[in-house]
Amino acid sequence: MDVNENILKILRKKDLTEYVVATSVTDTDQIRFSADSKDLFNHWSETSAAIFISRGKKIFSTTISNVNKPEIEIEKALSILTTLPENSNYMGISNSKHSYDDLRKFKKIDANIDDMASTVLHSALDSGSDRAAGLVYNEFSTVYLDTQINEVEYSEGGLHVLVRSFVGEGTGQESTHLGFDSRRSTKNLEKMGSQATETARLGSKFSEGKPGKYDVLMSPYLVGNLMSYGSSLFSAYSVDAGMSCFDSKIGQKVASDMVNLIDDPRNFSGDAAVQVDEEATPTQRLTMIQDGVLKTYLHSTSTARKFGAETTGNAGIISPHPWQLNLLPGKEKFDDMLHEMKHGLFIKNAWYTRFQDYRNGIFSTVPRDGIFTVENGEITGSIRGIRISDSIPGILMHIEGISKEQMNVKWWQEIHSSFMPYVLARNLTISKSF
Amino acid sequence: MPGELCEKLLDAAEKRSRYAEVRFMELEGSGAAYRNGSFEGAAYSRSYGYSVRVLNNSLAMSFSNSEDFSDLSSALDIAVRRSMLPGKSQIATKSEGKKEWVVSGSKKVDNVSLEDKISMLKDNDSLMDSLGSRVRMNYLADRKVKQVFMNSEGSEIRGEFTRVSYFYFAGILESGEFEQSTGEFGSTGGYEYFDSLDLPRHISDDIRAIRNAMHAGRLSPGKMDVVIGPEISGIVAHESAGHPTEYDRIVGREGALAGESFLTGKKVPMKIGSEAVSVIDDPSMKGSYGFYVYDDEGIRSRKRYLYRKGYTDEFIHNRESAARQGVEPNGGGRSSSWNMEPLPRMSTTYIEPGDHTFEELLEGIKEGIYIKNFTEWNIDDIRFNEKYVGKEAYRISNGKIAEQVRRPVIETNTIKFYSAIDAVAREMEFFAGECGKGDPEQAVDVWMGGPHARLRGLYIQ
Repeated sequence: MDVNENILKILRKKDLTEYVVATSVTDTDQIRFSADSKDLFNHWSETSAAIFISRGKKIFSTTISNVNKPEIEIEKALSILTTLPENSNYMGISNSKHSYDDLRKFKKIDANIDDMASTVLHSALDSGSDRAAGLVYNEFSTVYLDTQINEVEYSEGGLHVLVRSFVGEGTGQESTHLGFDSRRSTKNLEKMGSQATETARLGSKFSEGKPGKYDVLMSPYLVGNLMSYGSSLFSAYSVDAGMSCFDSKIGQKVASDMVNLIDDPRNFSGDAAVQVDEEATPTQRLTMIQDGVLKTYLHSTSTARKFGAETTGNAGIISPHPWQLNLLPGKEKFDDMLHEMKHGLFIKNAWYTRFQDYRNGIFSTVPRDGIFTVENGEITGSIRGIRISDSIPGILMHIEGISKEQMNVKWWQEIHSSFMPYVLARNLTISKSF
Repeated sequence: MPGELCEKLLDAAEKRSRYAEVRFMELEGSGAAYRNGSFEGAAYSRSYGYSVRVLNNSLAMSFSNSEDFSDLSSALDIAVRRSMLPGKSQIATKSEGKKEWVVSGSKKVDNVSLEDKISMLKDNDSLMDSLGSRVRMNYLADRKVKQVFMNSEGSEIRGEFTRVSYFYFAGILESGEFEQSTGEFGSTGGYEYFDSLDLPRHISDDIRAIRNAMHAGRLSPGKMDVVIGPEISGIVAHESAGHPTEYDRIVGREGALAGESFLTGKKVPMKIGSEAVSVIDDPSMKGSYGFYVYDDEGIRSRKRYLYRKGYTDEFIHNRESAARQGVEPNGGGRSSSWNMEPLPRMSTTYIEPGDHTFEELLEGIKEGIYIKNFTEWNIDDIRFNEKYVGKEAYRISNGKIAEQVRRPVIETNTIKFYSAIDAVAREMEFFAGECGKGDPEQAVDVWMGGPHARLRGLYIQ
């Protein structure tokens, strides 16, 4: 790639086993709003290069700002590489030549984010919200990626609209996310604020929750949060490090029969769609759990060689990760799942998920933005002060319902962009503050 | 030379705005890691760029890392154009004049060889292995930061500092049972920090404690007297005193992300605990991981009482939030990089020490629990409903430490926690952390810690 040429000229002369140069050129806009007006407009215009080099099992990574005059930083990186010990776990990057014939080109989404922020803010305020907060993002990056044998250019980004509404001490949150090829529209913005306000209104009259075992109907946001935090457990790196509850579980049942989980990076309706991984391997639709059985870990070339497997196109060269999880829809309607619930909770979102035991997947998370009691199929009230204090394997095994409906969810660092349905899990442990 | 366009960019910006700022920041970082007996790799990064903030009918910022002035002009054009649209338009325009500050420590980061750093990692990995830890990660990093802040009111603040940090993860696995621990240490300065830290002792004590915890019994839930260690008093101060007193949260600016504050809409000063409790945030504490002389908006840093004798006191402000409250900014405006907006942030947050010894805290307890440190923790988005799972904990019997217990849980709320404190010890100890906030999420270096403290009648699960 021309953008990388000044870097590549140096690297080609340096007797390296492998190299990867990924230069991102970013053009992103954001508006933040709170209370009754806009807080700040932000614009990013940025170029930076992430460079990986290896000589045998010696590896080094560097990130630099000045891609046009990279000599000082590159020479520093090369001199450090020479002095490093070997990484015995490192098994190399992909040596397959790719043509990228099916690569799709995209442009930044054409959107007036100022108007969109106004629409969603007023939707919340006009529907009775005490105040609202949120943001609109229009993200776009072009990535120029070169390895010793491959070169590829692709785009990343999407449009995100988020609003959180406040009524008394009740809160509700809604969002919309558009990938480059999304068929969804932004017409629902006029309803987003009012939907968030309705959830907040329902939550404004609450009682203290009680600890115990509950059937929990989880919204796509909550499912997305748990899957986002649990996703690292599927990485071959975590397994190899001894930090995954899925260690030695390939081919074994790790979830209820109705669970089918895939990584879906080629779904361009989502804003986390990625066409190649960080070592230029084309990404793929990857089945991770099929009918409750663990099919694969997430691999780069290096971890795959160590595990005697094939790369799954999920590099991170050292630490593979999912791109865009998709918990496939089930057979039930959400309304039916709710109406068939005798006694339980309907929880819409959570945050601050933290693990006390990665090896067994034991964690707790703090529900927010809609925590409702359900009796005989009806929402009967709102509670607060509770946690889900359980484990990822425990929840996966106790899933007894998955909805037909699915949402593209994403929220801050708490939910990675993903496609999630409503999920019913039985007998989860709920704790509370005393 | 990167950063030379600050003055020219400010000249252009102030002609087209009621108030303008330019900030240039250069970050140069190095890190290396060791995992489970193998060298994991090393990394180096150098990032620099400009941010420009303008005020007209609203506030707008542009971030660019080009050294071509025409690119910076284009970025400025975008910010100026957007700032003509309506929006909030308050910002404190204070000038601190021309100032410079430098902190680099006695053992400068450039003078410590990579070989020595890797040797430190390898030694600690071997130590962990010898203590039976099968799951091990050690990570050592240092960072050099240079910054220029200029505004249209005449501020010109030039700062340079270095920070060093160490992180480890250790896990003990026996018969399917697992106990894990992390340690985070850091300082503003150089590698002399590690000379006084005695990291091997910390690691050894920690791993022995989690190994013993694996075989310890569980506590019967109930109300009891509790002594908490510095690591817990620190995380509590950070989570339920520091975060709720960030004024941008109180007025809802973080409402859709990190959340608001239980103080939102409340009349202040508000009683939050016993008279024994004061909580301080102090960016001027030398050597701390959150130390700075001027914040990232060019405001002189100073100590702030967040809670004083059981009542809320001062809030943490950046320029924008200070103007919202109608007070002077107090040096809390922090940004993790040139391409991030400064937000009200903590630095070193701690419960003010009292006059007790650790033994005196124990003496007052017939039956209770000593929770030295924590593993899992979390808190709700108004920083009220919080949970801390004890990592190393012991029963207290007749004023003495008794047998170890496994994973006791404090799950309570902010008012109950601070109201239960009746005595605070003299000695303090601090730990490092990365505090996340904002969107894009930005992590800033902080210290948390403080003294031991005694709480009466807290429900422990």
